[in-house]
Amino acid sequence: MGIVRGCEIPEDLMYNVDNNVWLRKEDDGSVTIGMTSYACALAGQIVSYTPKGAGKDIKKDKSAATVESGKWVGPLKSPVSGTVVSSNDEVAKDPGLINKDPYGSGWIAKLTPTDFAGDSGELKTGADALTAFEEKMTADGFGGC
Amino acid sequence: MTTTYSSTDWLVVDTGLRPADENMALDKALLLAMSEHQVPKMFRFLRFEESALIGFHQSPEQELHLEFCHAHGIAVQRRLTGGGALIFDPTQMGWELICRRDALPKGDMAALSRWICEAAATGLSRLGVTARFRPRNDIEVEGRKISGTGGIMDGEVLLFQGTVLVDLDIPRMLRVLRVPLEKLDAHAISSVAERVTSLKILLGVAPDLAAVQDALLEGFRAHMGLSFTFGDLPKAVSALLPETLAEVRGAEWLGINRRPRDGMPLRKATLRAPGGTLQAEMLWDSYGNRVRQVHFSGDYFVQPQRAIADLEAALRNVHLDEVDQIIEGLFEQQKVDGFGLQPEHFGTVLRMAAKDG
Repeated sequence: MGIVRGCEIPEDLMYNVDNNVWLRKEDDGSVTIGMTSYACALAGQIVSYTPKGAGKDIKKDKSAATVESGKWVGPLKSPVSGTVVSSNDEVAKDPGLINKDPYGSGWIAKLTPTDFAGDSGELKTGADALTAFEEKMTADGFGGC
Repeated sequence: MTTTYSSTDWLVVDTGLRPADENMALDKALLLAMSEHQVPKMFRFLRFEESALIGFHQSPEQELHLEFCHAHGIAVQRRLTGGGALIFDPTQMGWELICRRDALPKGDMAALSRWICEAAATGLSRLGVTARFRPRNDIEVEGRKISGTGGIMDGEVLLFQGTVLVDLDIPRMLRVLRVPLEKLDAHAISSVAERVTSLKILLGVAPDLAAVQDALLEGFRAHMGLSFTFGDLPKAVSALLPETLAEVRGAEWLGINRRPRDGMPLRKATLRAPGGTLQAEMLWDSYGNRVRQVHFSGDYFVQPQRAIADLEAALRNVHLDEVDQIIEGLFEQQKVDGFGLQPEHFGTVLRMAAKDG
């Protein structure tokens, strides 16, 4: 598990660092996406979650779900284009799961990607991701998780 | 002809009195134009024809008395921003900032909203009241809410907005918004009046809206060092308006998060404790186990008196598992003396209410 300024950044995941989202390619070809622990630290306690419904087509870098914390609303932007397979019912019931377990039970959406190879080229992973998050945190003036 | 905007000043635009759908559509258009670098950082003043606005994640069925709204021509709209339902009428003033993230100081979302709210409170205080920021995102005077706020952060673009209750018709508000009160009688009105206020109540007369605008801008100037120029709505925004207006007028927009009213019942419980009798009435999210809104009453004495209103504000939209920590934190922070009434009694009565029904 990679750690940047106290924030867990698993090195086996792929990231759109600018949008602060992670992506995991599943064995069946689908992808799971979610908020990074850094995004959770910036947002604070998440109190609401509204996902796009199953079957909805999402374009790369467009909203797959909307979350709310401390009266701030923000979209979670999908790192790849695709069709929503499912949203997270447990998170719908308890949005705080996103903060508690952002890379596990707090996942945001599962999608069937339309062009994974084409869309995922710019995503960071491993040591590159850790370096990119360090740079982002510096630019954001972020003290740490 | 191309308009050139200052790179340092915020463009102040007063879009005047408009229907709720136009104001929401303008918010969408402003965000879009900002994301495409078509407009400078802006400070907008807005006013509404009578309307009920729900927060982005709220359900109109759960938050509003829709029959009353429809019967009285009160527009119902969904905000882009978070927080709770509120009413607007032409006596009230809205304000908002639209900018890129780097136009404001670095920090997390809580720090950012505190900073903006403190600036607005500084401004309102220039009118002769002592306004202060109250977590999570209210501005209050002597423990009574005078302004609610909320924001949206979309990538590098943000919009943060607030209200100013210049005047307020509490009986009408109670007929539009669902509140955690079983009976809407004179007692309910006076109870709400202990928690919400207006500039007219505080000053004896409603100030001129231009004076409220000037005061707010002064507050942002003093607290955040902003500088302003005044102008018209940029053409890039007007050009997007037909498209965004169609979006907010569509059924899909208001239908986001449509939930049945009985999914958020009014629950109630009474606890006899050493310090007195404590009653909690709450709007309860039975699906998510969340306290949406709570109203405490009963026969007790708590010092400082404002602690109850602050506690109710802190307990908005909170999971039942988190209430104890919030209550204990507030008791400690304000050194609350409940004369026998302890923090755990408040948690207990909430859990009793949650089981009720």
